[in-house]
Amino acid sequence: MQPTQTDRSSWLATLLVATSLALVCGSCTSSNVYETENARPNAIEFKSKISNSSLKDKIDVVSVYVGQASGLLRVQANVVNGSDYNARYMYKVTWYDGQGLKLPANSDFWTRREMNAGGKDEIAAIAPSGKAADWRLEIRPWDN
Amino acid sequence: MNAAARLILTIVAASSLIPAACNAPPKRIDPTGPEAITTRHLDYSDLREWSDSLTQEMLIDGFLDQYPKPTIMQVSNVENKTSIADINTEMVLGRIRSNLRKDNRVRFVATLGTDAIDNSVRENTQLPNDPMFNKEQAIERTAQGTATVPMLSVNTQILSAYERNSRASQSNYEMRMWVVDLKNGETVWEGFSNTVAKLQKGG
Repeated sequence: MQPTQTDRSSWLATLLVATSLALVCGSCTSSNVYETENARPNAIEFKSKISNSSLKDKIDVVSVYVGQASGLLRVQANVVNGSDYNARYMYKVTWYDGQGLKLPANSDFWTRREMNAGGKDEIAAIAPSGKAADWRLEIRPWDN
Repeated sequence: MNAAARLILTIVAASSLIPAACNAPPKRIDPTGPEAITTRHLDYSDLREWSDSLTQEMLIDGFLDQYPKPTIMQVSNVENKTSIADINTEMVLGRIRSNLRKDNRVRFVATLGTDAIDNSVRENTQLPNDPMFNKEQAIERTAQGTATVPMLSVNTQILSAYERNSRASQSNYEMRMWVVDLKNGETVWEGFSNTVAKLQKGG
């Protein structure tokens, strides 16, 4: 039996309601963010290589700051969740000396985070040694 | 035994081998990567994150800058105040120690305290009186009034808070750490690791 025009209309209506509900529920847990206008003006320039564009749509690095603490290089990447859903991700910071050689580090592991829809967060790390001159940040989804 | 019975027996015997064949062989994984297991209590990734967050807190605070380098420390107390019996605190403490020791910033004594102790330092002080050993070497190479006295002592506690409602239970874990100046007894630094919270639906 062929579907009638009425069947098609009711199916479309159901789909529309389901989609709207999903969108509404997705934004239920979103964050509202307030901060100083033009806050944190001294960001450094950075380069990115995006292999997972769907992850970038959720979690993205918007600015990076570099400083010192106790004579050690310190880096902070400001991330945002631009999607309508909570995002679970993991990150790892790797450190290199002035010649580009990787430093042996206990901090070389994946850290797990969850961020609200629309939320902002900071990924902060401090170099394992005073020899550190450069860093690399990797972000991947955390599905577990 | 007739043919039908033999056939059934063969099928049963063969099917018993299937689960063994389906068991995947073990494989190496990234211990903190996406394949790592998240448990109800503290897991390996949690301990790694604790050591990292506490080291960061200590170094960013800058309290060590007021002491001569290397700053000599001892680990005094490691207390597990949770109901979990087997938390591997050495994994956390060992990594914090290792990170602090880099660049000769901090050195820990192995003669006092409760972590990574080496009793041979004290035992070997008796060697000059032992006729078996070269007396000159025994005096030169053992602690005869030469063992270093620590400046600071490190203390840690693993803490937990447990809560539940009709739908779920939540376990929260933290590592508290504080450093005491042994000369005046003042706590010169105190910090908490990030809180690890585990939610289990259905309690």
